[in-house]
Amino acid sequence: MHIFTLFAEGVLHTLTLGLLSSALSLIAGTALALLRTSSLSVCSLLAKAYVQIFRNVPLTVVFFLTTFGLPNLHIVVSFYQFAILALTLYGTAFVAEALRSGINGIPQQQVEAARSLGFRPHHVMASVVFPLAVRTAIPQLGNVVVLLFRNTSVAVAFGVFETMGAAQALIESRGDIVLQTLAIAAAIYLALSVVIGVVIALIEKHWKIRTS
Amino acid sequence: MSFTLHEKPGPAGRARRRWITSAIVLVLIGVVIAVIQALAAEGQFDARLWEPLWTTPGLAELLLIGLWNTLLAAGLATALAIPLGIVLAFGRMSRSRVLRVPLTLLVQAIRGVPPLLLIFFFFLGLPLAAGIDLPSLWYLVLGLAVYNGAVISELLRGGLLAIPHGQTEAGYSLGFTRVQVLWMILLPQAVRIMLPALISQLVILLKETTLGFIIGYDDLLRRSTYVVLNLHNALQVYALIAIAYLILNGALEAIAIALDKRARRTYNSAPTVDAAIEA
Repeated sequence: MHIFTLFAEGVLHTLTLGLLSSALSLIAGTALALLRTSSLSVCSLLAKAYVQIFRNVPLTVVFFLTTFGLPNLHIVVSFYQFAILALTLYGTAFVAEALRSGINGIPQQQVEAARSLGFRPHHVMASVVFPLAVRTAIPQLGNVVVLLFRNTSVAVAFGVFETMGAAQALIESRGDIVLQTLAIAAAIYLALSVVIGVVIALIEKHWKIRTS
Repeated sequence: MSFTLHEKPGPAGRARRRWITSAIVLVLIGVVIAVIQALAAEGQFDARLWEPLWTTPGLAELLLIGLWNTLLAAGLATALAIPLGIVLAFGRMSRSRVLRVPLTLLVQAIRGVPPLLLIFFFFLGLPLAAGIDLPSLWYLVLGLAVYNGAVISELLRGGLLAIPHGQTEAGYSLGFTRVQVLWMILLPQAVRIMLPALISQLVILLKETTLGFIIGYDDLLRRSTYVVLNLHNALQVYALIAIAYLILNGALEAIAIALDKRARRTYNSAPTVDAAIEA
């Protein structure tokens, strides 16, 4: 089963790339979203600038800057690590934006209620606004994760052997099954999207904000 | 933010905030100086890396043709994606299940696959299956048009469903057919509501044209790699390219925000750009 092992290795890399870059993006994006809500304008401007830059620069260009730009500064890691870096830099901006719109959706009364109970401002953010915002932002955060998994395919052009890489290798060696190979790759990505979609729906249901 | 977390600071609070702000600014300046020094130590500011960017004859022209190719691909893909999106959205609004169910599955399937894979499908599949050999521009355009057509159909469908039902009924009572109601009554209103979201999607489409370099399309990004191969200044060239895309997409985004503001003046319940920019 040559084809099977080829794709198994590719899918494994797609999965680890997607999981690692999603996890890192979620952590960094949360920090960035909190920075953006800071009452100090320096902090919120910095966060805003980051989001603006990385949302408007194509992922491919981010890949070029990390994979081929950083070695000029003698920062040399493996192609795989560069790919995680590029995907994380890119995903962080989208996570921060999703959380920000979640935070924006929290009504003033929630803050006032917490303040009147004696919560300090940062405490209001930590235990009232942010937990609510995360829950309302779950669908958007899910979209970002799906997008990151889909975008791991770009890494094939930057020396990473993932699902697209497996498809390419197979196409190069077997010219007679080109369409079939592409169909297998499409089915793999589709299955991934469906699985992630189901997981997100479950999380959303589990954490649903119950209103009477 | 739609709420205020902090009360207006008093004199002591203002003084403290000034201190913290200046401390942060000082640290930032320190970081920037450190980065610049590190870059300078690596010789990244040497004239030999920057100077060729404006002294090499024909370089500006080379990159401008690349920019034109990028805009051409984005423009053609947009021109195909929007009609495709309208057709798919109408099909999914159809009352016949024979039309609705397969189209819904198709749209969901296309959206679940990376755009790069769709481009490869056309790039490798079209010559094999149909014996058609096109310039790489067209494979890129077709791949992006199909992918973004599916996404745009979702956006439009959301807009169509948001129009009050009375509009549809008014249309029927005037003797319009289903397609006439969709095309002449619902679509113009849906487009108006979803315009900011549509433009945000076009920003994404413009960013996705960079995938063309993988199948050998001569866009701005691919042409910049030629420059890097000859001048060996990857950081400088790619930084410039990043700024070029930043300006291009920033302009499009500014249009989206301006349209969003206008839409909100006319429709109080219009969806916001925030809600629309998810992808």
